[in-house]
Amino acid sequence: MSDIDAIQDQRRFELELQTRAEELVELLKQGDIPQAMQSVQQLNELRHQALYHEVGKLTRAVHDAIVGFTDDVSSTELLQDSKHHIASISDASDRLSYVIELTESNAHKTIDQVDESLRLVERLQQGFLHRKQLLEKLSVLKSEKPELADLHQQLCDYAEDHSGALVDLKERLTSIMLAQEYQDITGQLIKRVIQLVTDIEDELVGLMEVASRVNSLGALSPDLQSDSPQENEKEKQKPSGIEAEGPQMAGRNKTEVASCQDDVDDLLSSLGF
Amino acid sequence: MNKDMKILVVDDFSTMRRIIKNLLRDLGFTNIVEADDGATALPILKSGGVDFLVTDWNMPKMTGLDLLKHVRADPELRQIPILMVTAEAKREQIIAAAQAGVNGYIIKPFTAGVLKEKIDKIFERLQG
Repeated sequence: MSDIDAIQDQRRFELELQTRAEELVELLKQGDIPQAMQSVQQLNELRHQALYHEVGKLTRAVHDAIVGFTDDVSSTELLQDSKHHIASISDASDRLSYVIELTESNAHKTIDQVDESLRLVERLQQGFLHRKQLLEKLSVLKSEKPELADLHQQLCDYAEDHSGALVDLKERLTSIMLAQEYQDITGQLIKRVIQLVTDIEDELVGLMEVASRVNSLGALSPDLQSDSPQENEKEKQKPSGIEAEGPQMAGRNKTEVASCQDDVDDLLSSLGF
Repeated sequence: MNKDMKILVVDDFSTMRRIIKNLLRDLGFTNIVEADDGATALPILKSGGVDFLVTDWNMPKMTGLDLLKHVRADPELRQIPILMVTAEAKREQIIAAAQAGVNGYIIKPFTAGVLKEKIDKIFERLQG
């Protein structure tokens, strides 16, 4: 429904009200009370009809938005059709849960590999101790055979080089492990989105049930039953509004959020901690 | 600081429990037990022997803040030092945790260095 149509509808409703109101005044002037009461009744019905009509339009818009979400516009029966498509939102929750599962299991796989690598580093470090003992023996020999001095020095340099690299490697492996904490943070964010999606789904089912009752009373006029292409185009864009929430993360309210550990420390020390 | 002390790590994400456990092991602590939320942590605490509690905030059933309050309200447990490691970073939350009696507060994502520094600080204060 375009804005122009909506304005025209509104205008028609107002004109109708005005005409009936004048009739009512006229009837009252003539003293025709029974007829006047009937006119009041008609005015009331007119108001109900307008209300039903609005709910009907809203229902249609919500329905089209849900249908547009799945790119499937072939079904016709309003409530069943919507419930079917709402189910596809549940599917979206399942997919998000699967993302949590998948990232969790892969984070564990990465940590498994890191654990194993750290064990290897430890073994190499123990090997280094053994090598040091060998070098000490060589050092004793060196005093007897001066020609070994150069060889001893070369081996010492080599060993030192290795032990430095092992320390570095251990630090890097620890960083890889620590980087897996992203899974906890993304998991928490996704869990919140799943909750949101589930809430919206419940509300939509409720709304569609109310709307279907209104629909069965014939509130939807025939022109609204058909899916006009222009309308669908507009509705299809609606679900993307949910996705657009993402980028706000970076710009969360800075004054409310302690953005780094230093802020936390400052805050705690200001509280005497 | 006693490296043999028993540490309880509470987090609903197994990845995070494992990371914290590994980092603690790297710092020389090997006596570590785990729980996946406040409700499962409490019985472990009540069974005794836990010297240090490291907990997340946002967890199902019982949150870390509720766990913190439970521990501080229990005469048997109230002395246990508590470090919170959480993604909850709002000022009011940090203040609430401080008022409930937390000993240290680390926001995720964090580094191994920050964990060591906060643990050192907590035990320095307790001994000082």
